[in-house]
Amino acid sequence: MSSPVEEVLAVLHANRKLVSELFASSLVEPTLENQKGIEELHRLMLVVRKGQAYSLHSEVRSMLSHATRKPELYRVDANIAAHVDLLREMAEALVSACLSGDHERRDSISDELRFKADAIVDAVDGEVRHVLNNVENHFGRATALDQRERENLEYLERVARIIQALDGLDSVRDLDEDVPQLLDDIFESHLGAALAEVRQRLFDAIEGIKKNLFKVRAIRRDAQLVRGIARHLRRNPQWQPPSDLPELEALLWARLAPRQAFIATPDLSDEDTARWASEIVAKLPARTIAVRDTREAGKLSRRDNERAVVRVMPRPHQIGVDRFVRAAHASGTPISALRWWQAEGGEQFVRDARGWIYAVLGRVAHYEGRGDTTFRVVFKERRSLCGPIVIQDVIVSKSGKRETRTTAVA
Amino acid sequence: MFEHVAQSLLSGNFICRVSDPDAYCWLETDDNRTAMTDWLSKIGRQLAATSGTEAYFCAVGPGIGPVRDAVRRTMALVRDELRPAVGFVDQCMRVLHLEARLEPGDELPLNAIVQVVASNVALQEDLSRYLLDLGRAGQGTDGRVRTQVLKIFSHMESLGYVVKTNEQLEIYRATGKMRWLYEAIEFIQSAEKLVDLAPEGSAKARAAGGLF
Repeated sequence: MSSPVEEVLAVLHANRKLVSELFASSLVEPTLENQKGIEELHRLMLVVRKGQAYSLHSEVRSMLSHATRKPELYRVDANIAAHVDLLREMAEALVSACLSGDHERRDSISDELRFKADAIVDAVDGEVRHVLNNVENHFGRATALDQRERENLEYLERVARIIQALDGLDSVRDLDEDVPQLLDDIFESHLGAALAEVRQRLFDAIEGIKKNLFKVRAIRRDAQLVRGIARHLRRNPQWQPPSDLPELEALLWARLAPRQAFIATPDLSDEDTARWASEIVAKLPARTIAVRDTREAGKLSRRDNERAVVRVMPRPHQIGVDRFVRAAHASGTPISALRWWQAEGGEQFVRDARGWIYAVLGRVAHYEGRGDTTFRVVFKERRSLCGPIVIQDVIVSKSGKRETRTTAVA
Repeated sequence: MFEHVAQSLLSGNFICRVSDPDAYCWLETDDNRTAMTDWLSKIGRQLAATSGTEAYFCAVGPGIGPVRDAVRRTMALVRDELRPAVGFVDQCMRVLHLEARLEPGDELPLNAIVQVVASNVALQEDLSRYLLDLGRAGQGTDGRVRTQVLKIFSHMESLGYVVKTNEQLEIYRATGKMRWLYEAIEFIQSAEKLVDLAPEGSAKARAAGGLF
């Protein structure tokens, strides 16, 4: 009794024309001719029914796709070896003709030899170009790493076989000891320079294969690392990234530090500082607020009382920032943002009795009818980067009267 | 464009081909990059980029303030974003059967992801667990897979890891910030050795490894 694999292969073989048709077109409708074949293929689940028509099972299609690429992978190298063997025989015949003094035969063989040498160069060149092209351009999207790896290893074997064939050519060349001039001429004119180019392409192909294989390894390692870290985080909900690293390593962390927003930290206990800080209150864009750290250790969820960070950037303040950016860009020397604001003239000032303003949001609302303008200000306690953040809405009326409301303490 | 790029960088955005192609192209020009670097250095910042220059961002300048403070701020940022972002990448790799991690520019078709998750109970459970970790399980979720997936993508978009590139077909793309995340992961791995990175792959490949 035949095995299931043998049965499948037998059915595929018996219906190979139908399978080819199915492979070439996505759907095939049953006819009187192919009805029996389709039934057989369907019985073995090699085709699937889609309405009235049938199509190849995706696994079968994938297998056939892979199989049809095989001849392409192993295409030329066997021919090169055969060419080289023939060349060797011809070279030996030429040496023999030279030694026996048969000039007619010598000339005839040398003509054939030249023709054969050109054919070999063409074959090797075609093969190497084919491999190089595949290696350089067919790495593709790394969704099937095993396949990429397997293909590149097969290319490597092909390159090894080509090198072996070229070594065979070198050994043919060694035959010329007794008749140096004739074979030398043929080899130099028909193989020398051309094969040098081919060898260079071979080196390129080897380099490409190495690069591809390293790439496969790197992709696999990177994916493994992400999966591993994800697994670690799932299993250790309390885990936190390291915070006490040596100074040198800490510098690396600093390099990784984005979102260092445009933060003003003036000391409001100083009268002068307080005066020019008022400009910042009104003009810094809302988006420059520092990211608040309000999550509990080991938890991703935010606290219930947390308010969303305002990301509004009102137009007047946007214009103010634009002007500063332009001024700073135009300036040939370092320019202080704070002094620039100071020089630009001021608006209403908001200060916090406890000390330093950490970050300031701009105007968040303006009521045309009442003439009120609300500024949102964010304070942090002096010298405490991890301390509480106070968010206040400062409502400035048309008459200049101010009212302060604390909207959030995070 | 200078103003736009400057403000974007100062706002903490990552500028890459996907998130802001015009600004990225502008920064790819040497003169523009030099101008931006010079300008940022005047206000104590520096123009930083991921190792493969997939994304530019603004980082603390070499001479500003104590390094420890900058480190703490970065640590806080990493702590905030590491779990959701790594979990997201891991989920996407599983749902889309990716053997490689998500790279900047990779397409994430929302509808296809929803279809895959909806047809797989295990993935649905993973998704619910992930949303629970994210603290967003109960926020207006009607239990539908689509709503849950959309919620995750919105969150990741707000963190800057993906952008919606096709409104109609709801296709998202990973941004250059992904690379920054991977650099942070690499750094954590080098300091903490959390994952045992044993070589994978076929025996044949390992044997061929000897060739190089």
